Amino acid sequence: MNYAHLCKPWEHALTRRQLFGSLAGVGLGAAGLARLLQPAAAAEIKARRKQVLFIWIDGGMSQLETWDPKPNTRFGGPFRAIPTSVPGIHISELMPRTAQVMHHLAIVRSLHTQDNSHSAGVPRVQRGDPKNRGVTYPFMGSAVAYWLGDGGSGLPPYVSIRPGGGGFAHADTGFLSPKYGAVVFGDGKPPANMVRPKEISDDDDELRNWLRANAVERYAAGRRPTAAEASNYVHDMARTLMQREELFDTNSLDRRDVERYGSHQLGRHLLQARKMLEAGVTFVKVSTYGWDTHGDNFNGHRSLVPQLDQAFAAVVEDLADRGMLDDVLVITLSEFGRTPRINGHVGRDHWPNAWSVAMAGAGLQRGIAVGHTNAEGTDVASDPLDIGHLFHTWFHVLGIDPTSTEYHVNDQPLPVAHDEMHAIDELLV
Amino acid sequence: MPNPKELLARYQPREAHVLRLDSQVRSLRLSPCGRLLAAGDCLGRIRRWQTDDWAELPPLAGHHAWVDNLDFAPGGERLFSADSWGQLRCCDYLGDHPALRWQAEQAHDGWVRGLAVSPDGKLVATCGNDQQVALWSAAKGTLRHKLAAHRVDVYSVCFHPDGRRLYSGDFKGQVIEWDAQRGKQLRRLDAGALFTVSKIQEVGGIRTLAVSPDGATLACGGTEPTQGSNVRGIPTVLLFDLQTGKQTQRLQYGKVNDVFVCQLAFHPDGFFALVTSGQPKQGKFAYHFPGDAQPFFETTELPNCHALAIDAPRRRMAVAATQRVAVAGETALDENGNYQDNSSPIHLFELPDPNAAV
Repeated sequence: MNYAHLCKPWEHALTRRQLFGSLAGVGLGAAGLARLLQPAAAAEIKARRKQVLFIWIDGGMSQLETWDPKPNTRFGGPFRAIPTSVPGIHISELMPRTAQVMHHLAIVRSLHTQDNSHSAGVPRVQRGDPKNRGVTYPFMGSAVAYWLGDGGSGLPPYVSIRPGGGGFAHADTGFLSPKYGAVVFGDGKPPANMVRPKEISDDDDELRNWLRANAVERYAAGRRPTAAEASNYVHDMARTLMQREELFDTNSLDRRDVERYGSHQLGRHLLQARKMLEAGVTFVKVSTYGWDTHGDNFNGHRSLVPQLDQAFAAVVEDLADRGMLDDVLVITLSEFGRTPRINGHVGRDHWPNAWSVAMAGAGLQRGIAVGHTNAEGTDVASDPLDIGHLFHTWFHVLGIDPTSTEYHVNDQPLPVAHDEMHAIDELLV
Repeated sequence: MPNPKELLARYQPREAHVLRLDSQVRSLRLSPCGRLLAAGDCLGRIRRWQTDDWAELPPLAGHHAWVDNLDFAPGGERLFSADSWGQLRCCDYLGDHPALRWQAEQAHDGWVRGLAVSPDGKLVATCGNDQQVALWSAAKGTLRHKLAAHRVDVYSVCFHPDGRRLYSGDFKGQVIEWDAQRGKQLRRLDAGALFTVSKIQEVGGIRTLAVSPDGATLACGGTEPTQGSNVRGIPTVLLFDLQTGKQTQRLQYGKVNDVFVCQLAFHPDGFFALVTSGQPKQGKFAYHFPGDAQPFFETTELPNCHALAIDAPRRRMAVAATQRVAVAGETALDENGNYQDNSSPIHLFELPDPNAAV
């Protein structure tokens, strides 16, 4: 038989080369990487199947033009506040659809975080900004992938849908194995070469996989088990993805859904995120960029926020209608908010001092606004909350008890979230 | 045409006074009677100063949030104003407590972006984020026409000097010419160069519109945007021949950090004055004759110029800018520990006496 048509290593730019290179470079289970402390705890966590939709709004969305408007005040800007489906809670007029689903949401308006730079602020917020112990914590997606696994779906437990190219975000994993990085679907598209060429028959495919497994087994003989584990893991994941082409098939989407979510980038990506969640992916991150409105902030948010409003309200409604909201934690988050002061370019600048985050689902209280800022939004007026408080809260509702669950790095136990913070009681049912 | 030196001798502005405010203003107008300077602020107020001694009068209250638009009735003692919550008002403007004549609480659903009074003082045109243009009776505030041909936010309006035509300019750079009496669309002009999509953000818009005193030229001001988010673009004015409808000039005033032409207004002698604002501390105040390649006057002494007012008979101009030294740091507090605001000093200019200039 002529096997010339079998794929060459360089033809799998994503599915093998990048993944294997990432994993082999560090090695699964290499010294210094985490292992489960208690298998029983791990089993218990995985039995309670929770998922996460993490909407990352990169650049710093203005809380004053969204979740915490201060209309008709010195720094309030031009927009009005509108009532929502929860009496007493008002949000910006730029979010009329979200206002109708407020009864599903919880807003925290008293966030006070530590970093006003993008480069440091983004990873700090996404890692939960734990105490500095000289190790690099994982991003939330990697952490959840580690603790909750793939839930039996066989799909990558952590996926990222974002503009631009795809790949694999192993840097998110921190001290965890690179296996817990994000499979990135650039613009929601499948990885390259995901579709098996029709010239390769089922028998040929079976044979080539047998050959690969055989080669890996021979390679692994006499080496650490993790050397083979990495290769097998990514191939198994790739094969599962190859059998799930429908996750990327935009032609199969209900036209009414496309219209409800919006045909813009965020709408398309959140609709695909819903499909991923329905298919069982544990952690789906959707990222949107371009929110750093130092100039022309109000026209900028007038253009940007309605896109988020439309798609976010649609996905919350859909998860609720499908009975999924009890088990899916939905988070919208930036690296900071924006200044009350309006600068000379009619913009707002970076502001970690007093900002907001919105979330829903997975056992959180619904229809609630926790904490508040002062009348002008220039300071937190209730007890300030940091991102560590949110990570405690989120892990708690995901069934990862932050008070008793620990990583082990070089046999050093490490808390999953900032050990001097705690879950926000008002958010918990 | 006089040479640049002669033009400067006639028109070069000399800063005569600065009104130092404690907050920011959004709009500026000098009354036709010459007695009042009015400025719309961010707290729903119209601040007022007597022009003889620049003493401030009590502000006019009643608006909400940003008072982005002001205009005086030509020859009459009425001031029209509109805010970002959709309200349109008409009031007297002199004295400590001038009377409110009429108001339309929801003239538009949301931000009123443009306002203009017809040359005969009988009509007021407004436009806004509800994608509509409206024509009102100036005397009573009754709605004459609601014009719904734009499909995006409408940013600016102006009347033709003949009073029969109205121009509206929108976020995507489309201009519509209207029959102001009948409320009918006449034609469209394309200023789409003043708009782009950057990543997922739409950026730009026709921020200011004006027709030359001879009625021949329409000037559309905004930016040729290059980037959203922290917006960058080249301040640009597009000139259109109103007889042919064709664009005749594309005038640019700086580089990508200079960003927007915020406002332009024609002087009766045929040139237009304009102000620009971009990245913090970038701003320009200039004069330009249509047909010329370059402005005959410009200065970058004023940072972030947002608004402009002209009182030609009294040879006065006013420019609202942002203070020269911006508040340092995002969390800067004053000596009492209070969070500091930026402010909009209003720079008052006198133009030379043409008799004395010869």
